[in-house]
This record gives sequence, structure tokens and C-alpha cells, in this order.
Amino acid sequence: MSNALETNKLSKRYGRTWALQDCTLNLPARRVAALVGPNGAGKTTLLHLAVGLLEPTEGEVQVFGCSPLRQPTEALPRLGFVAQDTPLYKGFTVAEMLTLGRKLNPSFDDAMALARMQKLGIPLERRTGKLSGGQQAQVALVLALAKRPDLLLLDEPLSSLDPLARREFLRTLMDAVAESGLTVLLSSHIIGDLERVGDYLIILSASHVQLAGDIQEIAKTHKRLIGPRQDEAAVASVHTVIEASHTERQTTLLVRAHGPLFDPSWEVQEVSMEDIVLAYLSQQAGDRWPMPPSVREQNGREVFK
Amino acid sequence: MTWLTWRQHRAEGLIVLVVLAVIGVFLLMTGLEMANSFQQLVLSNCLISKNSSCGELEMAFRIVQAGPLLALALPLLLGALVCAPLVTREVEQRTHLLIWTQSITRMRWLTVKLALVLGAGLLASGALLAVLIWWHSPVAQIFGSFDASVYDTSGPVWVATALLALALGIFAGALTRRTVAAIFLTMVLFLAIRAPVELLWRPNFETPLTVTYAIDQQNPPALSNQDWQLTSGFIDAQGNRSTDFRGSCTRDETLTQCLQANGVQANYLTYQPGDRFWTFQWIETGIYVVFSVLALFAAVWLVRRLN
Amino acid sequence: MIEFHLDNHSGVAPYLQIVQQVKQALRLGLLEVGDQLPTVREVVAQITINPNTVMKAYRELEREGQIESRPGQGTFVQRTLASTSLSSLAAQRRSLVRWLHSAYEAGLDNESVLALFLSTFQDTQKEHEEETA
Repeated sequence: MSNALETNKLSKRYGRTWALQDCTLNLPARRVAALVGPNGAGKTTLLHLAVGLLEPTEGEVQVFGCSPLRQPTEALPRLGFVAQDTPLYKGFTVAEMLTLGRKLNPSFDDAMALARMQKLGIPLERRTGKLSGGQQAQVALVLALAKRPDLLLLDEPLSSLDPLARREFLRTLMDAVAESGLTVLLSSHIIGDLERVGDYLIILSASHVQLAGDIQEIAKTHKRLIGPRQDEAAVASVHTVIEASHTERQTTLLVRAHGPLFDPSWEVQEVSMEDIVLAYLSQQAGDRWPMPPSVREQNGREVFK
Repeated sequence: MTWLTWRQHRAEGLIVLVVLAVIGVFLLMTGLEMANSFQQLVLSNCLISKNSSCGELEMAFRIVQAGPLLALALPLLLGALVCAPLVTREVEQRTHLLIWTQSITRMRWLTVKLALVLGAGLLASGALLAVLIWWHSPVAQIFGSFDASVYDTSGPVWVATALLALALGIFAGALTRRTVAAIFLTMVLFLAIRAPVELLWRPNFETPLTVTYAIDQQNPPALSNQDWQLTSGFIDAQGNRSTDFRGSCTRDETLTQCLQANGVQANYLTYQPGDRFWTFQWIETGIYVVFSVLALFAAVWLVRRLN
Repeated sequence: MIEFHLDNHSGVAPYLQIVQQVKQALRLGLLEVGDQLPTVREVVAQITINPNTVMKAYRELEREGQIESRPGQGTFVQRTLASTSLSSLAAQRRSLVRWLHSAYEAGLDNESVLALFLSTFQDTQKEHEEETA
């Protein structure tokens, strides 16, 4: 199966600022991927490039092997997109939004859309502008799902929702994934529900991809090492040190292991996804973790399969 | 897409229909009045040549002065208030993020919208043109189709003006992406094109004809009432023309003596003959169509590149 | 039918939590041979979770032979966990009580008892896993 989303050195510049730089990703199909990073990191830019709303400055992006900008008639029907703050035509009723979907998408599943609206208790005759924030988000989601896309991209769909609305939105989304084997890429600056809902993680910070891979693999290879105070050079020669902190007596390292950790002087702990993400995000812009020499020789790029 | 265009703009569409209906009623009522006056008041010789006594008829038909106002204001308002928001509202409300990620391409979205809005505009202006021609036909017959109060609404120029306003509105919207800025830009561009064409270029689409007459002839030779008089003035012995009289007269000279004393040899006037009316209409139509096409191409290019 | 719950902060991977909860239910007799497990969609509706996670958990249990998926029908319990019902654990329970009493007599308070138990449990668990792997 071809990758749902592939980018190769994808970059986008506005004037003199780079919104996204040198982004190379391979997102396999049927995954639920979380795109995390602080505001301004380039998440929206990446998503807009993937749906053909933006033209890359450098590099390329492909969705199931098609370029969304140059081959829109092939790519657009396979893509679903929910933009930030879920824009809708506020003067249209919910029923009219469904008509819009039906008229503009040949593969629109009207029955499914109606069934979902009914299950969610969203009145069809009400104008979308009069719905609550959570309901508007659901309408936008159902509209995108009814198109039967193979890849659904969502730009911060949860950030303006209250916790209950957030949970219900995710439930609708997960149900759709269970029903159809959809690939999802969802951006968020909240790390909370990550491990529950996602099985693939992309960390974007300062317009660069810091980490991309299977959540299980990431959890397996990232460890916290605690030991007596010492310099991390010895460890850094074998593993990538993501974060290091020292107190008077103790040194704590967060490492990405490139092999077994069998030095008995270190206590090895599991690290939560939240802590891993925070460690990557807390580095200053432009920091690159030096790859240990042994790893550098093995592969040009570090990617988790 | 057709459904969407209608549904999105049905409010404006209905308002425009109402406005057109009101204008239609106004034209109907005043037009019938003018036709009536025309039957009763007109003197046969006013229909042949320009006669100073026909000037009183202007009072009877003064309502026709509303024509030029209509001719410019209506298309301009439509262009600014209907066409400019076509793109700007979509972008300002961010619904372009929704609509350009459905299954139709951006180009198809734009071309269908343009086709429908421009098509409706052309249809409406064409229909209104027919009514306007009927409405001011008394004045056209008495004062000629070149007359400033009827020229703009007597032929394809009016439809082309409407097209220009709509096209400029869309272009301004695509360029500025802000509704208020687009409205202003539409008006500025429209006037910047319209004014020079009407005031500077139109009188010279073809070289005007000249009639010279003796300095002691008080009244210029009569032109047919369909002709369009442009300028008049004096010719000196060397054949130079000037529209101003740069000399001075003493009190006991007659006009003829004064003119002679200041070197004037003859009077002249320039005009465009009435049979050039349709040529002029089509030339001016062509000019506006060219600008409209340029504006539309630019708008399409801008929307395609919208980032 | 069994109802799952997910603990975000337990540090245990979600799919493992599902596996553990199925095993716990088997142990306690809440699930018996022939019982049907909820479908992936039903689990997703209960606890908002990635369906791939549920499928992974079910695959793991199937690999271990506890459950069996029958195409078109659903997923069913095939085998309960070997031996033990809680009553047969009486011997373990008695020695645990004895140990607790001796710990209290040694002067440990509740927190120390728990800390001691947990750290010993984790160390022993790791050894045990390495031995059985």
C-alpha cells in the first residue's frame, strides 16, 4: 500500500521567513497520526501544503502518489480537510451544508452524513452559525467524513472545544476510523489524548520536523536514565541525548537509544509520551541533537519505521 | 456549483432584482410621460436640425438627465458591492479553506461563479438597455443619440460598461482580499478608465469634421440634430485655430470689426456627424471589453496563486 | 459484556491495558469460554480509543490463544487462563497476610510497606519476564 502522505524536503517561505523547512515524512496508510508542536511551528503550513491550498517553495508533497496541487482532480476526492476553527457558511442550515457536500463531491455519502447528524442530535434545520462550538466542529467533521476520503487532515480541531465536546469529536473520529480504515493526520498543541488516540507521532518545532514515527517504537526507544552526577559524553557517544539535567548529586538524561542500554550505573525508566514530546519541544530553535558517530555512519536519516 | 453560487448570493441577487424592478417602474412611469409630451409639444423642425427654440423642450424632458447617473452609478454599485465580495468574503470568513478542499478544483469554482454572475449581469443590463432606449427616445430624436444624456444608454456601450464594472470588482477583490479595500479600488479603477475614455478619447475616435463660416455670420451653420458638436472657435490668416479670443474689443467696434482687427479671418466648428454613432458605440464597447477581459484574466491568475 | 476503561497516566501502553483487562476478566470469571468480546466499534464507542489499538490487543490475545475471531460473527473467548480461581489462591493469600504482619511488627508504616512491595514487585517482574521470554 502506498504511503498516505509523503513529503520530500518540503519547504515553504513567506517573504524571508521559513514557515516550514526541509520536511521529509512518510506517513503509512491506516494510521492515526498526531502532529504536535507549538503555535507557529509550521503545522498549519504543512497541512495546507498537503491539501493543495499552498504551493511549496521547495520540495514536494504527495498524497497516495498524487500531487494535490498539480493533480487536484485525482487528489481532492481522496482528501478530507477540517481547517482550524472549523469554518462553515454561517448562514447555511446544516441540511444546506450537506447539500453543498453532495453537490461538490461525487462520492458524498448522504445517508451516512444524515445518520451521524441524527446520532449526534444536531438539528438539520438550524443555521450553522447558531450551533454551539462543539456542534459546529462535528458538522465540519461529518462533512469531511461523508466524502469518504482516504486521508483526513484536521488542523487543531480540538483547541477551541470544551473537554466534553473534545471527547465526543474524537469518538466520532475514531468510529469513522474503525468503520473505514481511514488515515488521519491531526494537529494539536495539546498533548493530552495523544497515546490514546494516535499511533503515529510527528513533532514539529521551529519549522522543522524533530521526530516522526510509530508511537510504540518511540516509547520503546526513548528512556530516562538516572545516575550519579557525571558528564553525558560517554552516553552521547552511543545514544542520542535529547535532554540532560544535572543536580549536585544526580544526572538525569532523556535518550533515544540506538542499541541496548546495559550500563548498570544508570537506572533506566520508561518515559511518558508527554515528557518525550516536551523534551523535543523545549530545545531552542536550531538545536540539532548530535547523532552519535556510530549511528551517523549507519544511516543518513533517522526515521522510525 | 450552480446551486452553491445561487444559495451563497441569493440575498444580493434578490436585492438587485428589487432595485431593478424599482428602476423599471420609474422608467416606465416617466417614459410614458415623456412619450406623451413628445406627441404634444414637438415641432417638426426640431426633428431636422438643431434649433435654438428647441431648447425649451429640454425642460419637458429634463428627467432624462437621470440617465447618465443611472448609466454609471448602477454598474459601479453592482461591481463594487456584488462582485468585489465574491472573492473577499470567501477569504475573510476563511470558507475558502472549506470550499477549495471539496472535490472541485479552484479554477472550476471560480469559472462557474464568474460565468453565472457575469452572465446574470449581462442579461440584466441588456434587458435594462432595451427599456432605456425606449425611455429616452424622445430626447434621442430631438437632440441626437450623441447627446450626453442619452449616449451612454443608447447601445452596447452600456452593456460593456456594466461588464467593466463587474470585471473590475472581481479583480479588485482577488487583488486586495479585503472587502472594504476592494470596494474602493473598484470605484477608483472604474473612474480611471471611464473618465479618460469618455472625455478625451471618445470625441476623437474618428477625426472630427470641420465647418468654417464667415466672421460676420452670427449663427453657425445648422448641423443636423443627430450631429455632435465638439468645439468652435476662430481661424486667423495663417490658418491657426484657437478656441479662445485673445484680443480685446473697444466699445464702439462691432463684433465683426473687432474680430477683424484681431486678425481673425473665419469662424469654425468641429463636429462628429450623426451617422458615426454606431461606429463610436462599437469602438467604445471594444475598449471596455478589452479592459474587462484583462481584469478577468488577472483575477483568475490571482486566485490561482492565492496563498 | 465486558466494559473497558483506559488510564491515561498509568504508563502502560493502551493496547496492553486492554489485554490486561481481558485477562483480568477471565481470571475473575467475568468472561467465560464462548462469551463474545465487544467489536472494535463498540469498544471505540465506550472509550474513545484508536481502533488499531483494539485490534492490536485482540491480535495479541488471539496469538496467545485466549480468544478467537470468527469472520462475520465476532470475537469469542476460546480458553480461560490456566488453573487458578481465586479460592485456590488461599495459600498465597495466607503467606501474604503473614508477611504483612511481620512488616508491621518490624516498624514499617503503610507507605513503606507499599513502597517495599512495589519496588520488589517491579524488580521481580522484570526478572520473571526475562526468564519466560
